[in-house]
Amino acid sequence: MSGTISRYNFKAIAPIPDSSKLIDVVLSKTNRKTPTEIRANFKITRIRRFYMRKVKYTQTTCNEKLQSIVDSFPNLDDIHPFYADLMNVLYDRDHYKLALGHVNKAKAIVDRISNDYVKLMKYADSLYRCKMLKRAALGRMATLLKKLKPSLGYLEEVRKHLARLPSINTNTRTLLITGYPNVGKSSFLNNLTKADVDVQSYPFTTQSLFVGHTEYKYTDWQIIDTPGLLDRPISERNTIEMQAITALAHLNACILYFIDISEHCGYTISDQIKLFKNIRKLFYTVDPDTQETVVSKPIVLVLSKIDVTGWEEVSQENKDLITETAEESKAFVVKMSNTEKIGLDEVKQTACDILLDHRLTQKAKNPKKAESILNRVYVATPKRKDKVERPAHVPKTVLDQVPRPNDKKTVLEMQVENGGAGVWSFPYQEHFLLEDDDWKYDNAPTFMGGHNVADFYDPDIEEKLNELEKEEEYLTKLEAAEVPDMPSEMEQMMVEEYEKVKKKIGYIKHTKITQPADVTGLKLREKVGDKADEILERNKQNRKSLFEIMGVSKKRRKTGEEMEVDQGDDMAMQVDKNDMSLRMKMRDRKIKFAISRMEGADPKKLSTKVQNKSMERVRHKIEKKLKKVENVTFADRMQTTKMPKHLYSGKRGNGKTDRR
Amino acid sequence: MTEGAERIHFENSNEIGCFARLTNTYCICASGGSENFFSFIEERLGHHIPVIHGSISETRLVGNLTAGNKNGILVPMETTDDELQVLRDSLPDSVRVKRVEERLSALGNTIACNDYFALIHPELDKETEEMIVDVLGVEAFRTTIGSNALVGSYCTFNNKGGMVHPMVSTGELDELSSLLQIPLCTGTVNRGSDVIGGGLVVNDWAAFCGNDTTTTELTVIDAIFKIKDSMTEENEFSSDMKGALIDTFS
Ligand SMILES: Nc1nc2c(ncn2[C@@H]2O[C@H](COP(=O)(O)OP(=O)(O)OP(=O)(O)O)[C@@H](O)[C@H]2O)c(=O)[nH]1
Ligand SMILES: [Mg+2]
Repeated sequence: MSGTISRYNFKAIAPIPDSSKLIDVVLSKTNRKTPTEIRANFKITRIRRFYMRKVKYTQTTCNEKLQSIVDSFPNLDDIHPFYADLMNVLYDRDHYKLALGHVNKAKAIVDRISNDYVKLMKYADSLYRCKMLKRAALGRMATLLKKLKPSLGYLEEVRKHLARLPSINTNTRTLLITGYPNVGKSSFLNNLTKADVDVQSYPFTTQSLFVGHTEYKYTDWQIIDTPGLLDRPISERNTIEMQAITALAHLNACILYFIDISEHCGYTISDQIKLFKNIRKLFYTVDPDTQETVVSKPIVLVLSKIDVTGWEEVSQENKDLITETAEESKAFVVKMSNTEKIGLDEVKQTACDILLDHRLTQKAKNPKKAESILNRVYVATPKRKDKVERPAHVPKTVLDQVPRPNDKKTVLEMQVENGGAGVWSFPYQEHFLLEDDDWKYDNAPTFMGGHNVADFYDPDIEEKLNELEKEEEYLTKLEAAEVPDMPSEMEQMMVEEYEKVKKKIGYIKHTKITQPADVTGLKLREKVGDKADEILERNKQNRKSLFEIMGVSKKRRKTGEEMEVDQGDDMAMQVDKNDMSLRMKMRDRKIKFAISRMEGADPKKLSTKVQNKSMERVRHKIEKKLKKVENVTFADRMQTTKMPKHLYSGKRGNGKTDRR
Repeated sequence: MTEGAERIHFENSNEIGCFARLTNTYCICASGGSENFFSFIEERLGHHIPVIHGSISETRLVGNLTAGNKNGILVPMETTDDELQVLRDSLPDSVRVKRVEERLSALGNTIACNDYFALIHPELDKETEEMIVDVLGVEAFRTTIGSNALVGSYCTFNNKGGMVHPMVSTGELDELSSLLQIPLCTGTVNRGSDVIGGGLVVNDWAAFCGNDTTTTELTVIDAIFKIKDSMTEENEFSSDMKGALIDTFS
């Protein structure tokens, strides 16, 4: 919001050190931040560099410090004229500028000193000379800072005072209270706001500006109380009065001119009107259209202390004077009393209304701006997209304005009673809405047998439990009724069937194995040549028996599923006896190899315990190595000690033989 | 109804929206060391709706991490079983409490809703959207608020009106308003903060906002959410108020 931006933050200025402290700061910083060791037998260039660095470093720190002081104070030409004038009144513009100028000038001089001495140092031919030049340079800088003492002192005072100034927003809606001393200005401010300004029965109670804030028409309004004014030419006014004059002249505010019609303040009504006419000149501007002088600020004449002297009791002469003056300057007249609290709101309303009106008309002169502002208070209203009613949901108790039960304690009160925050906290169980209030503090199990109860939570758990129980009951009943153990007829049948199938599987496997043997026989004949016939003969015999078998197998296949297993049973058994034992052996060995390849040697097969152990060790070693390589990441990058301390350090500490 | 929106702070933080979830049927507040915040709200609402203490995954950010309206409340997967049980036990039976598995687990920041509509972050899971529709009983729209995807942070609305953050254009405002079928305006809380969801909690008859909220901001809040008795349907911004608003904005 525009108002907040324009508020100056005079409270943020850092404290200004006095000159001796500044010198300490600068010199000790140089000492801390530059090298300190130098010897006469070093090269002269090195010695020069060493001292030049010191001088230059001192120069820059000096500069920084002074610059920060200059920057922290507001430039009178940049700030709002109200503040500029106020500062002029309070601190004297010339003095202020001189002090800042003095500090600023010191900066340039420090630069010059440093340059001079660095130049001189180029011609120094020994450590001693260099050192003396450095001493001279730093000494001169220190003297310079010492001379800043009065200026720095003054600036520090200004800073302290600035920090205490009320933060007056120059842009916002402002009511400005003014009038003769002791007419009831501060009392009015106290009545309207929480400002709590000092009220006394003697004049000049208020000696500076005070700010209060109040609310009206949904926004906040700033009310400024000023010191009382006397009727005298501006050149004779003192600092206290001048603050009020500055505010009157520069703030775009509604002026509340207080007139004490009881004349209790010690000034007559005509005097007070005279003062009004005098300060009215501050608000005159020339209308650009008509070239007439007009009053540019909304004014309210507040007739105060009507509890002492009513409006009727005022002499006709004074009445006329007041109404006439009001008309002249288009001012409103409102009567009020602080002690009886009559008309306070009326004053506020009139003042705020005419000010708001005034401000809006001023702003409305710029139509483009007005439009852009209206955009910001735009409210989008929806087009109805359907006929569904979407009412608000407000509980009946709210609509009926059911009050809170009086005896109900707030949680805060309970907390205070029970020992305060951090000692007592509201038991959350109190919030529970359960069927039975007695259940609130029941202990519900959260873990049971290492299981989280919530994981097994099921809304239908009770139903399911009931079902399970029923089923179990049923089963136990059944069990009791039945006679156990005796294998049934069905089981017997299944066992028989199983035996049959097992036999059949063995048989089919056999036929599969014998087939390839025939093919290998053919290959052999080609290779072996002479012996071939012999081998062939043998193979033929083999084949013959094979065909016989195959014949059977074909026969069997034809009969298919309905085939009786008993057929050719003896044949199958024969094959089993001849070849199966061999095949089984082969298979066993194959499996053994496969396993040994997969898992390493079978530990059971390792002959002795010793062997077993050493194997274990080797395996462990290999695994470790593998793990190391596998798991290394960037984070594991390790830098081993390159120079172990015990090998390189010559001395031992007192009474220590251990380097740790 | 009530006297209008009220200023309040949670242990010196103005972002009260982080620490409370207020709906038409319940209000969940974080439990702090001091009970100031809870007590303040309980005093005003406690005899109308349950006002309870709650925590989500052992943090106090019940406002940021949950989304809810009068029908139900969604809590993130990180909510512990105990916390969930406390919520279930403390809230009325008509309010459904549901844990949602969602990557963008700050549900309060990614969902803005009243009792009929919800604006949701465009990147929420499909399942979450279904859950919102089912548990909260609302129509959900994936949208952004003036190019901000955190709809829950940058707008707040009840069943009568809503407020969105100030960078939303009038065109967009009209669109959103037709979507939600309530009047909308732009605004700020906490002296110019545009994180409206953070500084403001409202239901249909009460509103609370951060301590720094200016009078102007309060006025706009009262008017658009129609918290005050005097503010009936039609006069959202009375001419009185308009004058003051215009003066503040220029
Ligand atoms: N009877 C009566 N006395 C009043 C009223 N208002 C102020 N007074 C008294 O007038 C005296 C001066 O009041 P202040 O409010 O300090 O007046 P002021 O204009 O601020 O005076 P300075 O700060 O000195 O300029 C006090 O003793 C008040 O009690 C009033 O309405 N009725
Ligand atoms: Mg006074």
